[in-house]
Amino acid sequence: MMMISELPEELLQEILCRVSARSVKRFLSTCKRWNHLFKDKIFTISHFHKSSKQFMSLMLKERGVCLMHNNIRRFSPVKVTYELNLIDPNSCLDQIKIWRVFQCDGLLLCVTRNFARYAFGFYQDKKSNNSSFKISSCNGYGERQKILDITLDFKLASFHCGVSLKGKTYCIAVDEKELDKFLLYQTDLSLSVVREEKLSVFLKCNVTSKTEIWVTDKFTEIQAVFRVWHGGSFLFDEEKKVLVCCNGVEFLGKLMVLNVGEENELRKLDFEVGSFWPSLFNYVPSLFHF
Amino acid sequence: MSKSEKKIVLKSLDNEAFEVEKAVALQSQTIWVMCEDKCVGNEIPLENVTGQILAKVIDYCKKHAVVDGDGDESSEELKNWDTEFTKNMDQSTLFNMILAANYLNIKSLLNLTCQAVADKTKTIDEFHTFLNIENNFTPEEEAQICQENLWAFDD
Repeated sequence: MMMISELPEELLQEILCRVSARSVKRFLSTCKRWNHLFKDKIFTISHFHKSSKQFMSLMLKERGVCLMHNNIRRFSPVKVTYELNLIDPNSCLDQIKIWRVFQCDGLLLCVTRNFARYAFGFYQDKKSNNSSFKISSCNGYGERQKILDITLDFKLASFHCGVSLKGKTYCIAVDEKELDKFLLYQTDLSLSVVREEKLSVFLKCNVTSKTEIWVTDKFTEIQAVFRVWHGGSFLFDEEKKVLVCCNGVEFLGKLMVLNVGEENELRKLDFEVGSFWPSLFNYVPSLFHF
Repeated sequence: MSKSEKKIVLKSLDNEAFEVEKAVALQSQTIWVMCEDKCVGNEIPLENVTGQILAKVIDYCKKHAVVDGDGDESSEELKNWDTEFTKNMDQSTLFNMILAANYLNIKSLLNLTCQAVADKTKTIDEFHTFLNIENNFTPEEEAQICQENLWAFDD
């Protein structure tokens, strides 16, 4: 009978690399022999690539970021627990209003003032191949600002900041040649990322009440010919066929939970969030740290 | 190439001999290097692997060689086969398979078996039982470690 402790250290690490981030974090916190792996960059990177990803749904409300649990079968399909708040270090009591949240490899960047612009990502040194996380800011005075030299034959929708998927940014854009057609429709349109693999588009025509959800991994094929009315955010669970969104004027301060059934019938459940425009996004914890 | 050259004999630690297609055996980088270097004849002694484990490794390599050769068999089917392959293995066999996959340098098998152990070890207590329970922090130390490694949205 062979025991796991008989395996050499490097093979034990291979196993730990494949345990989910939250479990491995709890394990490393309780065991002297393995605690050093917290600071081991190679292990962190290896774990990030090999472990199965635990997707968490988060909601940014007025003051804090909440964890969402979705279960369409329950009486209240969305349960919000655990609110993460930022306390102002100067006053110790005041909570800081979080304006937007960005994530990169399991780290969350909370942006607190809406007149500042931040970029969050990692930087790879070409010589040493070492990567480190960077936050860049441009405050409107040209500091650290880089303007991309590209010509657009379409108009970027200003309400939406875009989503990031596999190192690329996707935005909603309007073809200027098709502008006449847009005026006919009032449509809610937003983008979301499904399990960090696919891009999803939510379309709802407010005139015909027709709702469409597109999920694709062929990113060049998406084209939309609707007038954009209001942008919002949504999350789509392809496995459970559940969509949680806060799109459109009529859902101001509310969440809409849609159960996309077998025959593509949408079952709608309203859920009060008590926040003006909550923003929804997926989050995958990792062992990376600043 | 004559028929005999296409076959290769793998000999386990307990002297069990397995005759396999060369294409099957060459999925092991270790065997591949041995054959490239011509440092072995047609019979390769594998001193770290028992016959019982080697038989399983060969099963895996046969399945994957056939599928790779065909190119048409769906990756879905192969994935299901992999799941079935490790499903009923006990922990001890899995650990031996990990050692064998590492020694023979078969990356996909190492990946599969390590993942299987990770999946089967769900609770922290199980890890402690496996990975040296004697070496634990005191509750005070543990509280400090937790404080140093605070995570958002942790239980």
